Amino acid sequence: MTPSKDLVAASAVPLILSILRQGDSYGYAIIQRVRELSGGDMEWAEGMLYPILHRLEKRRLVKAYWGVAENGRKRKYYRLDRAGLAELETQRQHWDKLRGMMQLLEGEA
Amino acid sequence: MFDLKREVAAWSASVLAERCEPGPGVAELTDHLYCEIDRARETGLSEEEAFRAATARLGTTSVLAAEHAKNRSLLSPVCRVAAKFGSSAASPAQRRFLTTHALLWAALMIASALMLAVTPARDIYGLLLTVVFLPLWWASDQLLRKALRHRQVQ
Repeated sequence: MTPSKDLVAASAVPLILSILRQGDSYGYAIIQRVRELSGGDMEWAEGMLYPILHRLEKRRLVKAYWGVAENGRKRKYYRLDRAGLAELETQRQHWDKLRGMMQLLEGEA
Repeated sequence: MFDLKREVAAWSASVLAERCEPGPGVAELTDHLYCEIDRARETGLSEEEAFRAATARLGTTSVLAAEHAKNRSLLSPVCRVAAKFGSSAASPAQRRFLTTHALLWAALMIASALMLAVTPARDIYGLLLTVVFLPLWWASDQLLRKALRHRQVQ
């Protein structure tokens, strides 16, 4: 079941922040993680992820730094910042609220 | 023979020209491309096939440019033209060479303007600049770029 474009866009930030809460990561690995978590249903494009990561960096929700990958290549990693953690908590509350509303509606049906 | 490093460098240069991303942005994308290539190679593809598959997966440079346009500043169009202008020179040494060439032409134009300023012919300088110097500079620049590319291929 492939999620709609709108849902993919809306869920991108909380997913990225949640992945980074588990540890520092980089673009390609984040895309792989999302694919794995969704069982292959959610396929993020590179062109979607990096602009979001860069916006999160500008908003100081994540911190970026350059490191060296296991193959010796230069790689940009992202780390969740304190403000990012607070944002993740806010987003999680919004999603919980939405899920609660859906469950209430289902109960009424 | 297929040279992966060179193909990736050419791809990165075209992305830089299209998007006008600063260097680190392209470096990040280049790493992503290498990750895609590694994954494709694990499936048994050759280096060239893996490169083609990875670039196809990432999309054309114009599609990438459209996606990244959301983060662009107002100065991006200017920056994009400048990046495109310099992208045909592959190495920093070649770019320095082209810059020196452009500066020499600029110096020639300024010197001729100063010389003509004190003569009755000063009124025709605008015409001289448009009809003679600018086309000559452009032709000379194109010839130089072509020669550099030819040398690089050899």
